Amino acid sequence: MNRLRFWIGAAVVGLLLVASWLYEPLAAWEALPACPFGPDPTFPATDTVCGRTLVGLRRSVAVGLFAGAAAAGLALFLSLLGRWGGAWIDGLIARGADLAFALPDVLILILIAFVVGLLRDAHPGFRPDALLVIILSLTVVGWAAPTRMIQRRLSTLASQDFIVAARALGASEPRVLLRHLLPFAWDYVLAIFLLRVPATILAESTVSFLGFGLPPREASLGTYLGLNAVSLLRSEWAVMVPALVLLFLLVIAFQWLGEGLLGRVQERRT
Amino acid sequence: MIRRSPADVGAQAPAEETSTAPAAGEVAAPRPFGGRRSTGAAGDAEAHVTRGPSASGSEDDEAGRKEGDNGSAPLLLRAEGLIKRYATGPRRLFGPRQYVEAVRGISLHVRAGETLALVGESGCGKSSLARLLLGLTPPDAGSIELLGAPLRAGSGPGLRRLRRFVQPIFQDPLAALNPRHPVGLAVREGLDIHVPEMPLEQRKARALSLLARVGLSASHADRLPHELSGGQRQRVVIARALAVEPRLLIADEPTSALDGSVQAQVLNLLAEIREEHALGMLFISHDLRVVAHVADRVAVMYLGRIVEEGPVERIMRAPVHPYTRALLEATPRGRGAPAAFTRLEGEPPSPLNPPAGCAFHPRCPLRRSLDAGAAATCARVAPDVRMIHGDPGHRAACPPAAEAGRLMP
Amino acid sequence: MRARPLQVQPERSGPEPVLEVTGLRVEVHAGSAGWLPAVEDVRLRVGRGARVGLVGESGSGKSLTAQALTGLFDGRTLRAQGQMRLDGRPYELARPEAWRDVRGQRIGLVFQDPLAALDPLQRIGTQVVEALAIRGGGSRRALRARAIELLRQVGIPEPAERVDAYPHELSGGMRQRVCIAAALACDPVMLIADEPTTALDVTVQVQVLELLGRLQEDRGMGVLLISHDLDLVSRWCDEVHVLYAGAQVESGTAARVLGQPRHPYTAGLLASVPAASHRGARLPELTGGVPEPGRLPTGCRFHPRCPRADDRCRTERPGWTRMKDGAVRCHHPLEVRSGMVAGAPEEGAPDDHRPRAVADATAGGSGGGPEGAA
Repeated sequence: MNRLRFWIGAAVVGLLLVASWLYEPLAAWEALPACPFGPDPTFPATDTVCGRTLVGLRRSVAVGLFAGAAAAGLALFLSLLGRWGGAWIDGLIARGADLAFALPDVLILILIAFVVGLLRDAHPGFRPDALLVIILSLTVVGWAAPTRMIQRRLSTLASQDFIVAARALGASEPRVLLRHLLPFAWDYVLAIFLLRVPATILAESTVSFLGFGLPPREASLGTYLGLNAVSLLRSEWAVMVPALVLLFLLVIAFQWLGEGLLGRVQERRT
Repeated sequence: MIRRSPADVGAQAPAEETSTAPAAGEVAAPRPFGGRRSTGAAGDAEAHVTRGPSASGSEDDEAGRKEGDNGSAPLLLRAEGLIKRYATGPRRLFGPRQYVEAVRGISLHVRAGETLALVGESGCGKSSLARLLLGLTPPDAGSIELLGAPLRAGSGPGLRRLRRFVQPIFQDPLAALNPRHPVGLAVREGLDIHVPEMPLEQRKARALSLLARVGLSASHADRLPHELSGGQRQRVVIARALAVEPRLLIADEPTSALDGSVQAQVLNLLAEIREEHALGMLFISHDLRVVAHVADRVAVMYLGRIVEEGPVERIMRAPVHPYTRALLEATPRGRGAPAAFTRLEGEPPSPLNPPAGCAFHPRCPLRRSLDAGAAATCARVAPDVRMIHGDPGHRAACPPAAEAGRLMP
Repeated sequence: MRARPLQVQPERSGPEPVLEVTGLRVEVHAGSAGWLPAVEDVRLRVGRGARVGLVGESGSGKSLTAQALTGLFDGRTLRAQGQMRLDGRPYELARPEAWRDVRGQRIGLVFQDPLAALDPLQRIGTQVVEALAIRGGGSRRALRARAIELLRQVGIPEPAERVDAYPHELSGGMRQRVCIAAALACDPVMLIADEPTTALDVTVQVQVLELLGRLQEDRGMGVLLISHDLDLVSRWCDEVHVLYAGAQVESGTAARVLGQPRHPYTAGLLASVPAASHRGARLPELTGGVPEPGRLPTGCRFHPRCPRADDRCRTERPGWTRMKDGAVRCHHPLEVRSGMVAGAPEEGAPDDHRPRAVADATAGGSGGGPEGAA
């Protein structure tokens, strides 16, 4: 069951990405039929709905992957730091994560966008890449839950006898962490990373939809939906359909990918 | 004179310094790893072994303990008044934190070349005690001295070097080995940690020779733990412990998970190793048959305290404490019912809810035959461990039984 | 534990035994290797009110035997063959579906781990009631009353109150008592207990075994006790069967098997159990380990570890040799020294009731016995 989910998820993601990469060259060679949804409302001269949507998909995926990896990586780093530093630091990190977890993601993201905007206005030379900003912001809101999960995992692993034995032999804490603990945490961290991706994609879509994420020129699916939301009022909602469908598929596929892997990790545990 | 590494000296409180009995003589530290005496960081922390405290002036409460104590062999481990509490239950907003006391005031000692067995049933705290004595968790009260140096939990370099002198042998050898490391690597780990300056080939060779010592061939070295049998895995654990040349082994039910025929092999191996290296051993078990075979002295634990302690022959033949009696009679040893069989009522108590006074009193068969006053005392006052007159080295925490014991052979 | 007259020897015909098993054979499915024989040709008989013990280490096949007898297996990983007479009626072990229900009503089962056997989400009273309900009718209230009575019989204090407790609220010994109560619910003629006390503390073991003994006498049940602990089995059972690598190697009264083992494995196993009399001496070891189902030796399964093995042992599987007090399967069964009295306590070691005969029987056997080690 878990294997199935994993592979279906992977297959869907793969297909979507392939479609996304192939679309532009194929369209340029006029190898494809015209986009049934017509020209893009925002840039009718240069793009079609299909084109913008598929390119937007790539951006959503990129943001999801990078921000997800950064969040998982930060979580792993903090968890290891906590284990190495001892119960006090571990507890501090845990409380910090709990606190951060309680704050609403979207609000923080909007806040960050706002601050970045202020800085940009104040210092004309400050023109950070929008993609970078959004990835960093998503990392800031995304590290808390993974950190708690990985901390708990490391804690469970650390109670095993062979860890005790290594300490009794005189191994230093870093040695125990790197040689005996970390190798058993990798698969879990990977699963956590894969599970972060859909959440990150959704979060990014939300803020982009609201206009605080990626700008129209570098639109992600969320941006695209936001730009064209008004079309719903004009009963030209067809332009929204591809973006919505792709977003839906993307999120579900990554979710299955992550759950499948996590399930396999837990199966192997027992 | 006790030499410690600079790290240890700096970290100690002055009070600890004076409580360790200064020795009349000094025994040289063992040569590390059979090679030349290592210099530098690894060499500074050799803990020196002190002579037995009987050489020093003892306090009043020491006198009772030391009576009958064979003070000739070096003292490897000395624990005094150990108490360990664990927090239990969710933290309440108001009111004091709830605790369960797993270890409620334990003192014991082990000398080189002797085996002290710790016997008890579930809930008696023997596993918690083992963790304390390995230096893995700090006691809430009391002190532990390993080879004369204070052993504290923590992971400073001095403590880590000290810790190698006491090695654990676990009940489940599969859990005690890293499932992804070939056993040769597992055995080598101690060497990798303590003598990294030794060339790798030499370390590997040493690991192979240790495996050979415990009866495994070189072909086993590349196997993973799950590819070996239970007995073989336990041998690997023993080899791993030997690699760091410990002075004391703490074996927590090392053969309970093994079958009868394999148990004999492992016990024989442990006996050989102990002889060869003059190791001390703390052998934790619930099985009195094994204890009878293996131990020199026995300490019987009940709910976090030692209720009886003494030479194994005395304990086996003439136990004083009613709990020890019941344990002996309950242990199946051959055909036929034992002479005077007292079946205990109830279950071993849980440390969450210790009975008042003597922890054993609700189940005690002796109490039923006491007069009302004495029986009431059992329920009120927790008895101290006291020497039994005329029986050197044997003490028990049951005043009524000790009294009666005096009259019986 | 209690003094009982020695049980009648297994061969004597008497009242119809409760359980009679012949030709029991179990095969396990081992992936690519196909079906491997694990247990071969086991014969057992449990009379009414008899206590029969099945002893073996891990890999001996005792658990597989229990599974075959209880029919608790599907056809995918386990296959059984043989004939079983339960309360006089014959059944084929190969087709457990035919007699599983009957078995459920005539045989009670007690397992090693009461935590695993009990549903943690159901109150103990409910679980006993369910066991009662299999036997049929009665109102909920009547069943509950009978459940409380059963709990009382197994020694649960204040059963009317404890009946609504959950398993995790009870201690290990109490949980096992509940399992025994559930096993007794169908008023069985026979009880199969697979390592019932292994997970319990020693002082609690005593209580549970006493309870089993008492219940057995009161109800006239037969009991098949399966364990790895030879001492315990010999203390409690009247009759003992020793299993090695899926083969039954020795049978007889407990006194005889313990006092004068005829099979080298039994003797080696007995000798390797530590005791005060062996203090400080080397325990006689059985070198090597128990062979796995796929790698059984030819001929006698024990020959690679047996110091008395010869060519015949290597090629020919031994048949049963009958004796006065049982039977043994060995080409060269151990001799019984004349003048030895089984069960007599040894001088100088009053806490060990095993006679020297055991030690002598292994002299020249597995690595030299503890001669002069008392």
